[in-house]
Amino acid sequence: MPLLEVRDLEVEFPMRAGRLKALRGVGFSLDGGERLGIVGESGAGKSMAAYAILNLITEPGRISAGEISFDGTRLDTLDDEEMRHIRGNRIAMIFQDPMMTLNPVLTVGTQMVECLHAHRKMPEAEARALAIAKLREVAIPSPEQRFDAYPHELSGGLRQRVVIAIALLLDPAIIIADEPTTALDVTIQAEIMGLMIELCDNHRVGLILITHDLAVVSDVTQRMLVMYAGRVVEAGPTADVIDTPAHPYTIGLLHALPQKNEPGGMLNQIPGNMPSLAEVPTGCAFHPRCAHADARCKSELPQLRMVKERRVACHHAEALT
Amino acid sequence: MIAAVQRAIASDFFYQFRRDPVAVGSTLVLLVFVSLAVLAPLIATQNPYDPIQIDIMDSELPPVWQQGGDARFVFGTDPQGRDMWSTILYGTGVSLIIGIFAVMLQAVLGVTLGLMSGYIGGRLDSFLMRIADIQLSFSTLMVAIIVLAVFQAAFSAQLYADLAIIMLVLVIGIAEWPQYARTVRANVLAEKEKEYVDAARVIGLSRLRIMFRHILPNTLTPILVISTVQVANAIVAEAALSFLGLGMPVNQPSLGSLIRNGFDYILSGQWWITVIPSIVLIILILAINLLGDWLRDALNPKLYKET
Amino acid sequence: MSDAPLIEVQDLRVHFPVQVSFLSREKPVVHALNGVSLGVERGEAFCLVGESGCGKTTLGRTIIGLTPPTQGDVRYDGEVISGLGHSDMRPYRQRMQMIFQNPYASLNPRLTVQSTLEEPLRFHRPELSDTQVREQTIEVMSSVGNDPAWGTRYPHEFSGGQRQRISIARALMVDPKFIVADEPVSALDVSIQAQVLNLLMKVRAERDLTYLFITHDLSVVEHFGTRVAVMYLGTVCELTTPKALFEEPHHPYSQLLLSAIPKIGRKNFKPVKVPGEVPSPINLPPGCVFHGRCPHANERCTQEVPVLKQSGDRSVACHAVEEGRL
Repeated sequence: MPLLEVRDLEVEFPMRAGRLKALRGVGFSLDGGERLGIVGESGAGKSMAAYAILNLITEPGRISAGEISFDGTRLDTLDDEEMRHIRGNRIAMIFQDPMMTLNPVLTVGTQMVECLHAHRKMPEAEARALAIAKLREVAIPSPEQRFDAYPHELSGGLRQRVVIAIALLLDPAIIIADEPTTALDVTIQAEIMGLMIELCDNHRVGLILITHDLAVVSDVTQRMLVMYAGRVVEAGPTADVIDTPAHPYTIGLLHALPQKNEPGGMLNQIPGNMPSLAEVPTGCAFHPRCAHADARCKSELPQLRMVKERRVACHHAEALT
Repeated sequence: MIAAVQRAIASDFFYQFRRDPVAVGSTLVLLVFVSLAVLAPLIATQNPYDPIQIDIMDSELPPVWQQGGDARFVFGTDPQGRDMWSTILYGTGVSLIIGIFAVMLQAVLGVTLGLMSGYIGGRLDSFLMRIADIQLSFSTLMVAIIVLAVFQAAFSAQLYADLAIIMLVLVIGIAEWPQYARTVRANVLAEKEKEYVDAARVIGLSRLRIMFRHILPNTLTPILVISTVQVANAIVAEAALSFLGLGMPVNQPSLGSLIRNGFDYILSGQWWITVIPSIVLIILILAINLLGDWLRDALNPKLYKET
Repeated sequence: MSDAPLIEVQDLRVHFPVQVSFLSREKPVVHALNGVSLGVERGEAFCLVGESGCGKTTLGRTIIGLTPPTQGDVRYDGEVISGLGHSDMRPYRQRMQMIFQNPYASLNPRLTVQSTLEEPLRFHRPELSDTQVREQTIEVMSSVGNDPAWGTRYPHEFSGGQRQRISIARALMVDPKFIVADEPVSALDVSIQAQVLNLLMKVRAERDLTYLFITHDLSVVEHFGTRVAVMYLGTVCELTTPKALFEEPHHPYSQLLLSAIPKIGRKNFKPVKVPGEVPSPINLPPGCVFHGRCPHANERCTQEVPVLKQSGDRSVACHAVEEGRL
């Protein structure tokens, strides 16, 4: 049984323009210790899916349909107090900008101990020792000194390591990382990615990595999902999806990368833009931009089905692969 | 022009406005006040500034619903025999004029100095902000009292009476420019870092042009929000000064001087001379403040994010 | 038409004073650029790469005249332009334009698209009539793939990619010869990046432009650039063609940088672990700025600042390369 399972998740926002659906039936699963990537461009809904798991969607948005199960229990039906025990404790989350995640007026140590106290009762000295041990684990040099440092005294890379350390404090079963390296330099990004792979493997922690960067997903994850306009359009083992993409959107995305194009020539581009939530086309949301679209694509919403060892939501998947 | 109004009506801003009863209510109240004040010469039963129309024999009459009231004077009369209703109408007009013009003076002075201070920076900035700090450490009322007392003593009563409104506008206007300057400066410092300002510099535009054509329009939001509160403050300041006898002269009453007039008479039972103008003043200030509060929330960038 | 490079910088140094408290006696300085010398040839797409703090943005801004240099000069077509007064600089402003990174902050939110685009043209060519200005605006808008009907709308009505195209149109309005593009696609989604990059390439061919392209994305450099300079802490480490750099980086920092890039379809990910962190630009290390983290540093590296020297098909600023140790 998978550790985390999301089924037919729908998230909607009642707005003046109508009931906008940010997620229109998303499903995926995660086993313990597995590294899953969720890829999509802005507006696709990838962060929304993660926030939904921890019930962090801000008003007036809400989960309107679907199920989220973690280790046998339904998460979407928990009340606030019960959810609090899950957040930070069993499922932890890492955000993009460490300077926004860490409170600038509290020392690193204070924030870590605060996190511990929120979920466990332990004496001050023990909490401090545990925090320092975690700082050492994420390869922060001189952790005892850094324990008493303020966030602005640390570099971007160190701050993100602190954030990862905080996430690991209570030995969660899953870490959700929302664009954890986007704000970092390339060399720091490489270190953080390596660190996350190592920690997840050593501690058997499941990782959900949300990013727009296909190269990062390729290096870090074992399985991946591609999202478009609030739905999953392709899902499967990372190596397969990257090497032989099946959905026209995934194909387009990969071919738009400079790495996959002849130097000096025009890049392959996908015409048009991702539709806004209020203007999702009928049928397959990608059809206005797809060279293979036909009448069926315009009217019938494609469902995810198995094609060549991965799931694709496209009427023409067999023909394309 | 019509297109702009159409856009305004269709905008989210107006939609939020329509849905909020406080905003709509206070705006209506304000509109009523302003119309009454503007139409005062037409709807007042007498001109309280014209000594010919006043009869001392009519003094201290109670409002019409009390015993001894006269149907000619709905809210009663003051110690000089002036009709309260008419005097309140004219008085509100005076308060509004002083409030609005004083704020316009503050705004022009404060915004210009704040813009220059923020954009040019350096020593000009330090200098202007030090002056602003010094000025802020003196209470407006204290400065106003001193200045007005000196002028009252220096000018003849007639000259003072003629210049009273101008004096009040000048004093309140000059006293409060630091509020605008500081807020605008803070905004300018933030806008200065944005790339559209760099783009304007790369085009080669002059500093003056960048300040007024590019940066100023983007600092209008906080200016608007402060302005409503400042109008309320200016009206209260004028009322306070008049109450102390340093504002509008006795024969050109504003709400403040009316309140003062009646103060001596409260204990002897002629409550209407003080109480009615006080209620009018309170409602006016309350409406302006509520509108200002709503405006501040509605224009809050977090709720009104463009990205 | 001389053979001189279109843009040339000589030993450029830019230092920014740091704000300190009134009472402090120290006057710390951020050493943003420390002796940069290079030239951009006509028609080139010259790329500057590096990580945050390396000075690439400062270099771009100094070349375009937004930041005055502390030392050294900037030349356009042989003429010194750094340090020119506002009115002397004016003709150059028509020949040099800039595209910025943040599409959400590079357009004045209070001006319509039409006003934003017309402004540079009206400023530099006041003799043009209203009709001529409008025609030119429509022509430039169409050439970048914008619908001319966008003119009456405001920036907040457009997506990031569309705003970037409007910024590009604005830069093209005065028909410049040289454009500094500061991370023009970093803030955009992948599929939009391709659109905007294609547009930049098309415009370059059509109008015979020269680009100074600042980016941290090496795949863009590989695809788009004619020459690339790798920067670290305000100095240029290596200067060569993208092909040469990617096949075999010579400078130790270039090697580190290239090994760290995530790659599509790579089977085994093993990032090179380099000790230490980027030093602060306020207290620059003596000698070679990279020596603290370099596995090949020797005594000379800690004392003597390496200078860009020709080494085969490229220029490298490294003692180890010069001494043949690498």
